[in-house]
Amino acid sequence: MPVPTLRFHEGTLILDHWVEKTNPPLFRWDPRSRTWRAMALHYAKILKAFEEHQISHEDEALAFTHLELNIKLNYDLYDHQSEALFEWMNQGSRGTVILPTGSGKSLVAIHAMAEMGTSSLVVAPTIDLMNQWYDRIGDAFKIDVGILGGGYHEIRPITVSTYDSAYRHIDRYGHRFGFLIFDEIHHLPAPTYSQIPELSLAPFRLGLTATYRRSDAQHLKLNHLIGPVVYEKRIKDLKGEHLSEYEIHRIHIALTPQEKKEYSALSDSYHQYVREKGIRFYGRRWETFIKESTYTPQARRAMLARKEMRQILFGAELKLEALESLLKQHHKDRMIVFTEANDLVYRISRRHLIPALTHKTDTVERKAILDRFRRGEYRMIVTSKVLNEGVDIPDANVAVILGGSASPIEHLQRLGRILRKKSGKKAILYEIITSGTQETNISYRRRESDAYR
Amino acid sequence: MLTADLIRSRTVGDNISPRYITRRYSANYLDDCLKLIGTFEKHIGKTQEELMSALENLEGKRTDFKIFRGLAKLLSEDGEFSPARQINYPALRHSIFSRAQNHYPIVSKSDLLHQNQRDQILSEAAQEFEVPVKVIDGLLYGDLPENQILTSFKTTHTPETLLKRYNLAQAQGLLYRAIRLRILLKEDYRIVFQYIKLSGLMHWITPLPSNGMEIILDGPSSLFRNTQRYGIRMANFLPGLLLAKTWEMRADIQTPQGPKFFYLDPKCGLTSHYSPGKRFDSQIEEKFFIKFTRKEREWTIEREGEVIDLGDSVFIPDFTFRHPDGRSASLEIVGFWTPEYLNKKIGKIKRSKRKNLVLAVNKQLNCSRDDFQGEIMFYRTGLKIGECLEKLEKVAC
Repeated sequence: MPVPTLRFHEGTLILDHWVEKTNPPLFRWDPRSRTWRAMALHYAKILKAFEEHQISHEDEALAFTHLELNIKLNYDLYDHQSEALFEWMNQGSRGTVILPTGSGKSLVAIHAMAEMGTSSLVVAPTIDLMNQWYDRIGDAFKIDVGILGGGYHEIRPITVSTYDSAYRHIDRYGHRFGFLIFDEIHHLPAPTYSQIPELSLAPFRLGLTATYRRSDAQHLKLNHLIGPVVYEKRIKDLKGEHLSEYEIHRIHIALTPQEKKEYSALSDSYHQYVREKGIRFYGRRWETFIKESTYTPQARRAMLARKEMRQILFGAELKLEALESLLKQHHKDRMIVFTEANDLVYRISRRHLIPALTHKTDTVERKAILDRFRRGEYRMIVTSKVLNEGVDIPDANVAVILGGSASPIEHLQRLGRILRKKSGKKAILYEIITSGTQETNISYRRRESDAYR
Repeated sequence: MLTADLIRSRTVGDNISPRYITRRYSANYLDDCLKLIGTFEKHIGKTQEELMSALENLEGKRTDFKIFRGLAKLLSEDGEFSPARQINYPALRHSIFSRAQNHYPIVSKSDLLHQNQRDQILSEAAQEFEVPVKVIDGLLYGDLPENQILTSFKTTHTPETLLKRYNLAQAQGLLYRAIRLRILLKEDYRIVFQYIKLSGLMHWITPLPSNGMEIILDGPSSLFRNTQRYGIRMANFLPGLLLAKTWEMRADIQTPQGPKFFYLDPKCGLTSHYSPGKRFDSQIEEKFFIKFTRKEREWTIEREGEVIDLGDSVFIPDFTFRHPDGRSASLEIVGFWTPEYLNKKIGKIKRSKRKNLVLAVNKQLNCSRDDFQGEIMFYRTGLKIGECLEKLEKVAC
């Protein structure tokens, strides 16, 4: 008589040879395949239930392996890092650690990997962050790391991925990893991304973020997908301890007369429409506006006007002049220039012969550019949004923001780029904004984020 | 297929449907199609950016820009892009940027302190990479998609077929958001199940009291939650369904306004670009069918007229025979000889647990009676009708 046997099937668990009259715990009958089926998420709970009820079984589901991981490149952990690690393991190796950008979250994860000693999948929101995990883990353990995403499809015992690629492929690989790590976990509660932990067997789960709480309260879902919040420290608690001090300069510039003329013409026609329709920049009316622009000519014109207005703002000639003067002032420093739009990145790159990084930059070249920047071979980088979240440029001490959107999370994380501890270094952040336009408003909203208090 | 942002749908009550280019308006768009094809052809040898801005100009301020971009997107699948010169672009950039390090700041306006060194750096790099100084500026990012050249554009589309493909792509695009498909099917089981299998969807079959069956399609994790994860598989499957003659489909679509239904049947006028396959697998089958139907018989014959559900797959015998008294029996011809095929077939036959099944096995296969279960006849060049009828009578129920 064959014993009940667990197997993995496209992100779910199937139990074969179950002959008891009762339903197996956490399983549901699937009339399509005529088998008992459960969510892969419940794997650990199912094993526990089997043990409690002394149900003998075979396990053909799990395909993750024991890994002997030794940290070759050992940094001393800061207090907050070892506390976070301790609390996480104390809570059954499940849950989220909240630490500000630049406080060394990835080191917590690397130590957790070494402690768990099992196949691990690291999921990050962007290709750049994924690539950065790739570098970090490879350096820490001196092993070959697999990549799933950004044109790569190579699964290894330790693999890095993006949310998009992991979502797409988790049903094929959900049994290959015993440990899941989610970087910037506030992205996870989306209906699609939350399927990554659902379709995975991994008993151990770690979430990392600087901004856990979402205005839509969706972070509450993380409790059952990942585990509770196990540790939290805010930027105020850590400032000075290991983050470098920083100062902020805001540079106000005006549009050129020509730009101003174009801008106000566009602005008039746009605002007339907006006033007439009572559009607000949130809620349903904005959606309605977008929808209307696909069938009413007035709305379409207003939408195009708005787009052109933004182009004038982000590309304003005087902004580029202001940038030029900063380039002169700081040409011996390590500088990162952030812009909103890709075409401006390439314009600056060509004009000032500064290496550009955008989402279009190939993985290999990206790594080469960042490595050269770290080594000091390159002193400047101009980039669009790619570096927004947590991508770490350890030696940058000057950052310039040219244009940007109003999200406080985004801004806080941009700031994080330059907040790296380096003895005797004071980081400077410049924000170049255009006066008398919508942008002043955006910058004001930014300031409300925690980092400025 | 189209990207999700180019999909247009209309919701009325509980129903959602694609916004097709209907016959009434197709005349307007035929002209656009011609212009689009012309624009692509004119831009062979030009950069993608030039092509895009030409398309943008053509688009103008029209409000139906989504349709226009959709048509362009489908055409762009027939184009090939590559960089203007075959050089190592990352190396070129590195050469320029590392030279620039010693001359920072590179300024656009020279003054007493800062001389513009840009031209000198570029001309040094041009020399190193053996390209004219004139083009080096433009080559710096020559490998970026927008700077690549449209090297070839070979489309098989006419304006008419492009509109047809557009409408199909709209229906497929609506399915990206589908969580489940329900299909009523009366014939053409094999081709439909072939594309179900290819798409990787799971089926749930209920025979209908009259004739035919209801098929519900979704994926493994659909048992636990409504998910759009399998929507792309459903979109891939749709052209397979269109190959059948009689069918009805209902897709359950998830929208921010709640669940909606998308109904489709052959009256939709959509056309498939998938291969309908051959009507018969082999000459043996074809000859047998012709011979059997040449004469009026008590038993009626139906080609692939029955689906035996095996859970994770289906078994569709080659022929099903029905008697006026209500009895029926099936015939499966085993003619191929690769071991995998044979094993799979034997496994399926065993799992089907059919009593009223006759197997016709090619004598050259070197199989013995013991390899199979149930009623067997061997054949060499063709099936004998008499022997077949005899076996049918024996097993039918």
